[in-house]
Amino acid sequence: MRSEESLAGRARAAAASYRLGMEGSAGERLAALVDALLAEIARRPALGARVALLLREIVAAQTRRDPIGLADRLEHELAPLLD
Amino acid sequence: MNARALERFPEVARALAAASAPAEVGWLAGPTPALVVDGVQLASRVDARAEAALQARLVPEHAERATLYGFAQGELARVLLARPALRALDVVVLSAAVARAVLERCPAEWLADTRVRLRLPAGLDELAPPWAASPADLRLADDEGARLRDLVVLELATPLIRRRLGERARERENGNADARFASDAPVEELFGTRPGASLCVAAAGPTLARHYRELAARAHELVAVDAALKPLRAAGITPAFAVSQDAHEGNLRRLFALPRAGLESCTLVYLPSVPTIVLEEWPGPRRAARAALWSSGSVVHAAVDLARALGARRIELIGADFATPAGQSHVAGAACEKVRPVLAAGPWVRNGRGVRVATLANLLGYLRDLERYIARHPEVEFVNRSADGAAIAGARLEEASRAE
Repeated sequence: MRSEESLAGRARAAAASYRLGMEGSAGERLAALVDALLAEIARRPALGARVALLLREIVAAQTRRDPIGLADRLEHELAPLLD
Repeated sequence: MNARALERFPEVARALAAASAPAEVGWLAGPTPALVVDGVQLASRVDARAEAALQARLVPEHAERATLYGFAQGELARVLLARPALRALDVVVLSAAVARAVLERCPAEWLADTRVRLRLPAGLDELAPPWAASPADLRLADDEGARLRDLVVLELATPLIRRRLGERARERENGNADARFASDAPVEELFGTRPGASLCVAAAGPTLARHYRELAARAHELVAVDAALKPLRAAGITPAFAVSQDAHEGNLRRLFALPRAGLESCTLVYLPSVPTIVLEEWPGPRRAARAALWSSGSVVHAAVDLARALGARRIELIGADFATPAGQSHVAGAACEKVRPVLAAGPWVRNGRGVRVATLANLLGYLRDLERYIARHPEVEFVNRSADGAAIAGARLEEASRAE
């Protein structure tokens, strides 16, 4: 099992917070994930190309406050790309 | 609509039948197809069962009864009803329009389970634990469901709030609070010194500015939060009391960056979190509130509790808006004044005129905690002096001053 500190683990943890309605901690986790992800993309630009569209969808879901839409994208689309 | 499923709940059936349809309802394809209502997905389209199992963990496995706030597409109710120990499940509709859209499109066999009682929010003033909630329904709650939504959101945020309060407590310990407290008299000595008084609490919401003329004549009855000091002083008003609980030195320096002259008659009541360096510069008397005043996060709470403890039997809330009308967070001239974009999808609250106004999640939490406090103090008459700020349950709306 991967540690929660891995990018995929962070994406799943943020998704779980959104599914539980814990918007505050979910937002904190998402922000930390995005920071870590951007640092990783700086090292591996190919990863950026793979996740760019998905990140736009994630931002859009966050803007319209769609917690389950966000959770599905984080857990079932972003995390597998990061595993 | 699935009329048979609602046969046992005629009151709910009537409310759902009267509800208008959402602007937009569609399906998202997937292993477990999900409804999307007004841009908000109700349940996971990949694994709705795993999602519901996670959400159900908020209810202890062997609980005999539980409450569900919002039911999404029904999966969370199914998961809870599969528990042999569960004998009663109250399911609260947070949005009649969403519930109707779901029951028109999704199987609702779970409603036939005799353990289920489908309920409307009317008359449900507090949460009934143990409970679980559907986050999409929280997001889409209508006016009737708004108060319960806020209580659920507040409760779900509690671990985060506690963590932050814990961080503040640690900052406080580092700030050598004990030495200060030894030198300042306790606020308890002032308790009961204004028996039966009518006091005003000035918060720093945008509507404070409408009351400067009146407050100038009532400064001796005025308890102001720290953020309201600067605009009040700019209007020539010196409150009898100022209350502060801010732990951040930078914030406080901005709040207290005002001429000292005139403040000698204002008593500063401070909570343990306030940094020493700011206190030392206060020109008037100081009183330390160790654990004497109630606050669940907002300095408005501590100011209201001070007014009550002084002996007030009538407390007028002025500038206590708990909302950001036009995106404005504070009254003009406040050091922390910010204008934020008003997001269509952002949190909202009903104002005193019944109109939805934009707010912030933390302000909603403070508002609901204040309403609970008001309910605990029936001996005090609470008056909300602004119809443009949030309606405050338990505080009668009275826009005009009695003197006018």
